[in-house]
Amino acid sequence: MRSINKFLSFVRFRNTFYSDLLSNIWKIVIAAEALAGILLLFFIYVGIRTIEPNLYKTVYPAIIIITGLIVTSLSFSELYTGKSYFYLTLPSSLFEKLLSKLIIISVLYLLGINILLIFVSITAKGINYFLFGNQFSIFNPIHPNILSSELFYLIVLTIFLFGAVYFKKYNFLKTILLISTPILFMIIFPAISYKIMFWEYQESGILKLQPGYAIAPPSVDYLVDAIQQIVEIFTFLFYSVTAPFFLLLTYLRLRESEA
Amino acid sequence: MIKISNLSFGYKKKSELFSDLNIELKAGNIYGLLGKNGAGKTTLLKIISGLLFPQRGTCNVLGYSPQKRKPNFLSQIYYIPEEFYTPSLKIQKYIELLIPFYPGFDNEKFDLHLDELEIDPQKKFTQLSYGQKKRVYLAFGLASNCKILILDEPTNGLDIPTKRIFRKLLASSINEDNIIIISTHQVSDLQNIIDPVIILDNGKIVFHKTLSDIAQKISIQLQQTKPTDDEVLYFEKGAAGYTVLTENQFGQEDEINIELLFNAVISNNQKFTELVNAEVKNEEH
Repeated sequence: MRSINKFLSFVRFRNTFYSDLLSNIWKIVIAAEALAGILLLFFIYVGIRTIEPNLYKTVYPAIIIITGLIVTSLSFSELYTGKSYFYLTLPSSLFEKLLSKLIIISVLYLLGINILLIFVSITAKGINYFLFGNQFSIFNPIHPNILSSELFYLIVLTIFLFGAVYFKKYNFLKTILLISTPILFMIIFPAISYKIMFWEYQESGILKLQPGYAIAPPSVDYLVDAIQQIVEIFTFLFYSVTAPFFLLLTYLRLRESEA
Repeated sequence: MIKISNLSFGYKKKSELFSDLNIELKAGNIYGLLGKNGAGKTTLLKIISGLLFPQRGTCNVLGYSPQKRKPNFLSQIYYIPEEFYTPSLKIQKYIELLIPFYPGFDNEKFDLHLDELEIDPQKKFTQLSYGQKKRVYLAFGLASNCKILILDEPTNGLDIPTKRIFRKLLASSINEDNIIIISTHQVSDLQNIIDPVIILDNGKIVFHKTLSDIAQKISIQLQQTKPTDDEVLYFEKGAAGYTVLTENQFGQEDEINIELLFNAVISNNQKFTELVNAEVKNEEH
């Protein structure tokens, strides 16, 4: 028998990818059809009302991100079903299995959702024009808002991918809970602290700790600068650390998965 | 080929299913793994396949640690569980997807097996019954030429003619380099196929012998009256009378009924156990 690379072999990866894709092909087709139907109805509605909002600010990014995160949450569903034995004993490395899923939920998904949005918006444009005489813009996949929301999705999907491997059921909701709980604590704890310690000293948003001494502009400017710096640090960390960190966690968790 | 040493495993931390389990399985055999419900048969098979991890001790299969699930190891082991997964694809298409993962897969053999088991590869899995789906997997497993083939309740869902064909295919698939492990409650379906026999009870291996070893030690008679003799190791009442197990004192080797053997082992008869253990001691010396 020829020697087999333990970590990554192109042939084995290709086979794993085909297996992943083809064994889920009908689910993907049905989900895409259902989504296309809902979007078409929505776009026709938008066209009828002739109130085409700025879809690129809210609607399109929301569709791309939320649908993608739902798909990501379902991507390892076989680990917790009767299919787990098949998936875990499939002769490919964990890295190949993870890479295969990653390509499906990132590259393939984004390609698919863009094609779907273009196709649905063209159909909606046609229907709106011929039936109601209204205009409807065709989806532009290279609009800056779309590209930035796709970048955001590519980062956040790693958290949901971890959730897909870690949680047995309700992966999507549990991952949202996983993310929102620490954020809630981060907001609630300072808010409560402020309420307890400083509320009685404030007047119209200005802290007056001693008579004649107030924390007010221009002091607030320093605070705003500090907050901006913290936000920049967090943004940098989000874009640089989140994806590799959660991918590593996902890999380690996948290694520990049992059937 | 498979060596399990001091293995402990439990689904809950405080209650262990296996405690210090030891067993060695050698190539060239079709092992029958028997036990009551909940004895740990499927768990043991999953540990060997790398689907469950030992909590203590070691499990060495083909020189690999199964829990690492290395591709080279996985391509040499094929596990067919009792409840299996089938995609919504044509059999032929699905098998084409799987073949590249198993370097020893014999396409010709697979086609022959499918033909014997009366399966049309152009059909979709969704068009097949449970038994027909199982036939596809059995045909694939036998044609995969994996060094270890693990079958959990393989005859469940198979009709009577298919069981006969399956026995024939199974017997022709064993060679000096591979092992087939079959966990089953339907021992009569595989009566002349499985040998040696391993019996699990309360998380322990209480019996691990070849049938010829047992036949040398045990004699089986059928009698009409209830046996009262002290020499009787175990007996069961059937429609034709009492089937009685006694020590083989005359050297003739009777065909061992595995179901009877299983019941005798599980009954925890002291004399029977001593006889088996005595044999073990003789082997060790």
